This record gives sequence, C-alpha cells and structure tokens, in this order.
Amino acid sequence: MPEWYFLPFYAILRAVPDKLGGVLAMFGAIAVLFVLPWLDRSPVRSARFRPAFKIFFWLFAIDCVALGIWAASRRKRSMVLSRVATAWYFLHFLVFLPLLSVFETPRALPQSISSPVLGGGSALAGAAANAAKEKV
Amino acid sequence: MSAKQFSNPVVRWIDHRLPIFSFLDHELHEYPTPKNLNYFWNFGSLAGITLVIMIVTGIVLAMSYTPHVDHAFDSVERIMRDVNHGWLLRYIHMNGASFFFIVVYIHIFRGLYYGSYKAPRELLWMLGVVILLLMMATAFMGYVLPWGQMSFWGATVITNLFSAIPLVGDSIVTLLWGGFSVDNPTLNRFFALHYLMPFLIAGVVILHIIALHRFGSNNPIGIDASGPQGHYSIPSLLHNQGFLRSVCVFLSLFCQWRSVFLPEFRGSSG
Repeated sequence: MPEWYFLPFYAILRAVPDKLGGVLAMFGAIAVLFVLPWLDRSPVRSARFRPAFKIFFWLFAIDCVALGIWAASRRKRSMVLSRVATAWYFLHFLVFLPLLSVFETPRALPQSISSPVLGGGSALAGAAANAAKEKV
Repeated sequence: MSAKQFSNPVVRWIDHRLPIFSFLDHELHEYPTPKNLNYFWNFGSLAGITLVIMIVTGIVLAMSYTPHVDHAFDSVERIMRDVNHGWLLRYIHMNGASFFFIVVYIHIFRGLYYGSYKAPRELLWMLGVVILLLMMATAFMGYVLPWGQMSFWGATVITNLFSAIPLVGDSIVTLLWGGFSVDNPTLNRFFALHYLMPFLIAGVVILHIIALHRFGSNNPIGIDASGPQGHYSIPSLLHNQGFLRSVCVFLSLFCQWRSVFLPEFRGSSG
C-alpha cells in the first residue's frame, strides 16, 4: 500500500486490467494536466462565473478523493467503483471540459476586481458620507 | 528593473555593482498582488516553505544515514535512538512529506477552481506539473531509503512498472536497479537521486516564480487586476490578512504536533 498521496494514482494504475495500459493510464493522469490549458477553452477563468463548471469541478474533486479511498480498500466492489472513477477522471479533462467551454454560458464578469467588494457597500457608505456633508 | 537609490551607503555601493537589493525590492516590495486574494493563495508560498523544511531536515538526516543495504536500516534506527533529536528530525521529514503533498494538492485544486492555468499562465501551470512529478519521484525514492520491508517491496513493485514498456522494458528495469534485482546499487542510486532532486525542484520553483511574476497572481474573480487600486504589495497584504495568518499558524502547529505526538499515524513503513 503506497503513501496516501499516491493512492488516487495507484487506483488508476490498478483500474486498468492490462499492465502496460495501467502504467500508461497512471502517467496519463498527470500528462493530461500538461494540456489542460488547451482542453478548457472557456475565456472565463474563475469558477465563480461558470455555474456548470463549478459543479463539474466539485464532482472531479470528489472523484479524486474517492479514487484514493477505493485504492486503499481491498473489497471487490471497490475495484469496480475505481474503474468508474478512473473513467470519470479522464472524461472530466478530455470530454467535459472541452464541451463546457463550448456550451456553458458564463455569468457576467465585474468591471474590476474591487467592484464586487466595494460595489454595494462603498456606494452606500459614500452616499451616507455625502448626505452628512450636505447636512453640514 | 528600476535602479533604486538606497539610503544605506553600503547597500548602495553593493547594489551599484551587484543589483541584488534592487532585484529583491522589485520582486518582493514593488511586486503587485491583487487585493482580493483569498487564503487559498497562500499555499504556493507554504509549499515553498515546506520545500525548505524538507531540504534542511533532509541534509541533516543524510549526515547520519548510511546508504548500504547492510547498514541503512540500522543507521535509521540509530537516528531514532542515539542521534540528538534525530527522532524529531526524521519525524518532521516523514510527516513533512505528507504536508508537502497536502499543501501542493490544495494549491493545484485552487488553480483548477479559479482557472489559474489559462492564458497567459500556461507555462506557469506546466512548470507546476513538472514540480509535482519531481516531488512524486523524490517521495518514492525517499520511502525506499530506510530499507525496511515496505521500502523493499515498494521499490520492487514501482520499478517493475517500467517492465511493461514493450521491447526495452526489461533493460530499463535493469538499468534502474543497477543489477538484476533490487539490491545495494538500487539503494545507492536512490539515495543519490533523492538528494539531488529537491534541488532540481528548487530550480523549477524559481522558473515557476519567474513565470508567476511575469503576469502576477490570478485572483478569485479571474479578471485581470489593473491600476494601483486593484493591488496590494506583498508586505501590506501580509499585514491585512489576519484570517490567512491564523490558517498558516494552524497548519504549521498541526504539522509540528503531528510530527511529535502522532508521528506514525496511518504509517506502515519500517
């Protein structure tokens, strides 16, 4: 049993019945990260403005944790589950992200990075300050 | 890089000939940081701190470690029992590896969530993936060094993966082993590489930081911060983020507490 930080990759290695296939899948799981900037073509960076991507992000995060848990388990059911999770891992990068960048409608972006913070609050505070000035 | 006039005459004299103070001022003081960063943006520098902790404890451990199949396990036992604070150094190094991965995985998922890998930061992201690969190789070879049962079988199983490569697989495994089984030459080369690779990581980290400082940090909103009102310098950022500081303190205390009181939790090596 490898250390916990290798478990998701260990699960991917074991999920493929063929030895060479397993090794390729394990290294592929990291290699796919190299081309990630070209798989996710959406011009919007932050998940805050991408409602569908946000869901898929959390599914992917759960998928990675699940891979780790199932890699540590010796039950037969875990092998089936980690095959599904392995498939999801690659589907996320190779299918879902490219499709999302085409079909998702992102929410409107703010004008500047300070406007969501200052927007309501400071406008109100500014108005209050102006009102106070006028009284004086 | 703007040449800056420093008030200290010694600093000015040196900086004129070797502009290291201008460089530090430019990269650490003038370097703008988006002011809406949340505390997930700490895990990059936390990873850097962890790398330093690992290198320092690793070098001190190497002073008492013997990379030979007959002596490796005994030298580790000696570190645990006889070397002054050797137990603490080894436990910090062991648990530090775990914490390195915790911090780096959070760092990676931060990047995934906020799209930090997108243009113009593709190379920054790819260098990060290189660092992750090097970290994995380093962690694996470090795991082999105590030469216990887990070390031996870990080395056997992982190196055997390469035998799956068609035609040249077996030759590659022989090359990795330095012989026809996992033996003393294997341990020797793993020790040499385990000592080397953290410095390779440090090198790639420098490239990672150069790429980062080219366009600056991404931020939670993911649009480019423009103008001085969008930015803090790093020192004022550190002054302003109390919550962030408490997270860092918590993590470092937790790491220390675990190294001292629960060092073997979930572990099975030895």
